[in-house]
Amino acid sequence: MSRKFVIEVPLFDRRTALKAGAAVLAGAAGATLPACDTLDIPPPKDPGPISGISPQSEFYLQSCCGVPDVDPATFTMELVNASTGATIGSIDRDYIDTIEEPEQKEHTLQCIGSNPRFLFIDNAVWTGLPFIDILDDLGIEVPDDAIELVFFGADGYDTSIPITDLDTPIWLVWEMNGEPLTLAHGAPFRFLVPGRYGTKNPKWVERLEFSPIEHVGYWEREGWSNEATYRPNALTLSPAAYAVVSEGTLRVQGSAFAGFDPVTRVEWTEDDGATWQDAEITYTSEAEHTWRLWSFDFSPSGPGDHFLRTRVTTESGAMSEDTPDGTDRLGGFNGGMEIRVVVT
Amino acid sequence: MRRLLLAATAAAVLLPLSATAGPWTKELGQHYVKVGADLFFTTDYVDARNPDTGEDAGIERFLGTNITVYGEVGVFPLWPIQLQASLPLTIGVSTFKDSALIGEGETGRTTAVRPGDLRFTVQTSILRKGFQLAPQVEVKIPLYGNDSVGRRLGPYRQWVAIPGEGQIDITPMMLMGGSIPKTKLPMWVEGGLGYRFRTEAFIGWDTDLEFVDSVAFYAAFGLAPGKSWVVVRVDGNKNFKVDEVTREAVTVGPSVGVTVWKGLAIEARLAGDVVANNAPRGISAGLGISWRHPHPK
Repeated sequence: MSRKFVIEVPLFDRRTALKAGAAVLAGAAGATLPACDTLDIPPPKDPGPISGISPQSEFYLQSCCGVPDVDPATFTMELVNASTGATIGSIDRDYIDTIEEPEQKEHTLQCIGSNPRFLFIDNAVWTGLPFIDILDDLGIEVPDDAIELVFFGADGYDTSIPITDLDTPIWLVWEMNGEPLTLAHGAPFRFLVPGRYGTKNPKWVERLEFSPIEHVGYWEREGWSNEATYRPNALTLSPAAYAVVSEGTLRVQGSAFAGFDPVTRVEWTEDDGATWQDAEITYTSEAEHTWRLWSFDFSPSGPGDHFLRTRVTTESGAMSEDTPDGTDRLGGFNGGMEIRVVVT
Repeated sequence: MRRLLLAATAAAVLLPLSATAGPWTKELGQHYVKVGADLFFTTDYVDARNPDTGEDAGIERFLGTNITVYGEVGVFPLWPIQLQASLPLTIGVSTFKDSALIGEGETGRTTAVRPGDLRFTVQTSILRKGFQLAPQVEVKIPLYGNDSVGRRLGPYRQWVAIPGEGQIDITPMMLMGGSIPKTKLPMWVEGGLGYRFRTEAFIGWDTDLEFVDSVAFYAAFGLAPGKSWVVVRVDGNKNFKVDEVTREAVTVGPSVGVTVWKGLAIEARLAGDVVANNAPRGISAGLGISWRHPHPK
């Protein structure tokens, strides 16, 4: 840190000398003294069974920079060959309206920043088409030298995915659960990129480049994973992460997801992992890339603090990390969420 | 949106009723002690722990209470040398809304109770006939650990106000003042100008934050009709560098006191933040009881 004034102290710089003195003072003061924190919140409400399909009005919203001021009726996405700079096509609402037989797919979306504080995961039935089919329909050929798709949003957001994701396939969608996308959800259309967290599922894309070079996007420049592939995780959706109850049985509900790798088992522990009990899977889908919902009933043995932690196992045998906060925040939540239940 | 921690500096705002002794340094045996309670209220939310997050905070209001024991005593027989100390107990109550955690329309409340910043000051006098000139050095030592604040409250931790900046500060200050002659009522003016060194030595807080040094100042005008007194006072600090974390504030307000028996007095004050950068802007009020020796005849 630069300072306007510098005091030279023999043998030490100022900061070292002050810190040394401060340590002595801190010791003399007995360092930090006992303290108390309390929380007063209403008891959790039972939301009833959580729906496997999230209404658009309740689907989580996340964007880097707010909702842009665009008119979905006139919004146009330009397709650009980044090697030549040439515009090779465009897509707008009028074109979407000419598509006679769109397809539907159930698909789960989760924010890479979801964690026990931000329960950003939802599942919906989307209407759209694989993007490669749209390119075929428009007669647009992918440039041979393209290695990435680079998305630039009207909100200032940018990100990229490997060109091979076209075959996953990625989708362009314009309806959620049979309703047109609202502006906040990306109207007139948005991308779904299976296998990758929400950072790679951009909205309001006004320029899509077929690029011969690698691009580092908005969140990736901040250190978030560029691959952003889903990792096994469990989130407790009800009650909240810290609940105060008086007595009786508490119904605990949550989500489990691992991208293409279906979750087959959810377990929970109340003794810090010494023993695990199976949770009931309450929602599954035939569609790939969808979440599982689970629940269990917790009957506290008595007053005091109870910590309930979950873990998931997938079809391939992968498991979430047995740590409530995950192991690598910037790579996406990969833990089994823990909630604290205070029984009074 | 304002981004630093609610009440990161509330404790700093809640100085006891007379946190500085004034330029009249006490002689051997003279003393002044006070127990006071100060309230600070704000609806601002500022988070020093997460200055990089832009999440909209659902803070509704914050009420901070400091219960402070404060004392000054002259300790040297040949020349005025005074020691003074203050120790607050801080009680911070945050009321918040968070629909994701506790439901739409519901409010929650966190309370954090901690000892605050111990302030220890040594003061002497250079001039003490007529115009007063008194240098002092104050050391502020946090007696709390910000890392511990709300640690067991999971996602609700963000609503738990930390009691202060958690750092040792050293502030040399020159105090000056004097009586205003030829007035019907006794009147005086006083002021102080100092340099607040931020030592970057944090206690109980593993943080990368760097607070910048600042000029600390105050000015006051007082008058004393009978056994009472009224003071209007301005306190503040001006940072040497613009940043996003260091509190910068100017607080203005009146205080009153009345002697009820010998040296026993009741004091009250009211103050508002007229400037508040990187800090919640609020109002504060205090009430205290004090004992002074020797007391006015």
